[in-house]
Amino acid sequence: MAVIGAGPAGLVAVAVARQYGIETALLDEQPRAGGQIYRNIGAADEAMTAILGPEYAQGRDLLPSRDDPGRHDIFGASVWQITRDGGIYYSHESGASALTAEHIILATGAIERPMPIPGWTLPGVMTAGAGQTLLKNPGLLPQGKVVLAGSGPLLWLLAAQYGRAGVDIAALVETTPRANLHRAALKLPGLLREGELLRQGRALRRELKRLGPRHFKDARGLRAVGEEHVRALCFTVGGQEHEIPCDLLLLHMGVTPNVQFTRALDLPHDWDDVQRCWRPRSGPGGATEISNLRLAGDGAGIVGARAAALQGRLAALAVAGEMGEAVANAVAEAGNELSRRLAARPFLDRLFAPGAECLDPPDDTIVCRCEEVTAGGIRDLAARGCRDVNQLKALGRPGMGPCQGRMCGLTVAEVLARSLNLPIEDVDYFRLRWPAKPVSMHELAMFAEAEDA
Amino acid sequence: MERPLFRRLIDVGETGAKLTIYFEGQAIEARAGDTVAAALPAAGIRDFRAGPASAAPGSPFCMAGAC
Repeated sequence: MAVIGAGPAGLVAVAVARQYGIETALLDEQPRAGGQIYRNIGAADEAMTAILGPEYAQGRDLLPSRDDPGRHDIFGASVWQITRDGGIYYSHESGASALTAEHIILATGAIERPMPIPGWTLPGVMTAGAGQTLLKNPGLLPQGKVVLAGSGPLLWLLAAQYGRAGVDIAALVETTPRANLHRAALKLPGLLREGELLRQGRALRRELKRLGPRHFKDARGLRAVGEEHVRALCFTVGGQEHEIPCDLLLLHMGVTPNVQFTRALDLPHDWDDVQRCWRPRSGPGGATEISNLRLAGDGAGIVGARAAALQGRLAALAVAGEMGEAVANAVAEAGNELSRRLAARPFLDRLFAPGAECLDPPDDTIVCRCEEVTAGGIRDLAARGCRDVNQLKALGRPGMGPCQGRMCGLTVAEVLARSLNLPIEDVDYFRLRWPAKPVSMHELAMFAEAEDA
Repeated sequence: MERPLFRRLIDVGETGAKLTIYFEGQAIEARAGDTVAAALPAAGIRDFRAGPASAAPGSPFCMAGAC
């Protein structure tokens, strides 16, 4: 069994499979296990876990406790293609390699939702996730004036983590529309069922209050300004204009499933109207329409680290079940815990749903960062008769750069659909093709020689 | 070189080895295990590349291999 992605879902899937004696291969791009959420957990010392917090330290429990010859963890492996019959192609140590698996679990996680605002391509503008990544490994902290802006739990968490590390935050600028609070409030009973999450949220808010950065709420019309580098964040609150000088601007607008593999595999995807993102279709145990290919974790729909781990468990149990193991009790137990963990999602999804400004940015905003295509450019093509994102891609180049649409796919579709007044399903999503990651001609040439030999 | 946007926190994640890399001919101190995208801003490099259409300055954005 092969698992792609060594975050919580992938790590638990491997651990459970090994309990049933299933030989495993685990592939991940990073040099160590943990995924984005537990990045570098195996190397983090006490000082680092004190800054990142107890939720990060929980990731230690997912690491293997001893050497296991039936477990093949391949780190620094960038998977660029998988095939419906179990072939996995990846780059590792400057060469291309392949393996085949009888079962594959895709646990490729989430990516941050793009938050396009005017000026977001300026040097000095990064995502909040990027700020946190640099802290986890190699341990970098910003110096100078830092502004955090956008919406979502990661924004609060990073503000708290920076605070613990002694970094002054010039401002925390939240864009969460007030209307989201009302929509979320209807789903409060679910949040109350997930006590751990509720406690974490309250503790974070208390901590932020104590740290006391300038805190703006329901901010609109965000613009990063500067010439060669970001100089300030401009926005309005209740019609009043603000300009906060900054050296580093960290943006965040929640996370969405990373659909690069499931799209390239041509699996069916369903539109999630609350989270405004596509979700690959999967059933119990993460089953997909491709037999022996399962999904687990945020890549199948945003669930958070704890639920992702349970989905990894369920996917591995399903594989063990197919091999004739008695797994019914374990499946029922994990399923119950999963439904409790998921109870808080409707509240969170509504509270942190992206606002209209993020989904339909002003004309002068660059939407596709790679090819520098603006929202106005997309609207022009719509006015000239462009009906779907793939036609738009051919004519205007959004989604053709090295990120393969990861940073613009959702925004391009939103802007086009709103421009044409069509449902988002009608404008479709980019058709993604292998390789899923850039791979050099040298690697491919060396690989072909090895195959011939 | 401008003042770096980031500073190193008490050598966390450091494998010990300091090394020199060259960016546009300029010697930069880095640490073994750094990604290039982390080493350059840590050394005060702000502008990494020119945009394909506008030639506008650009720098790493997501640090997670997505952008």
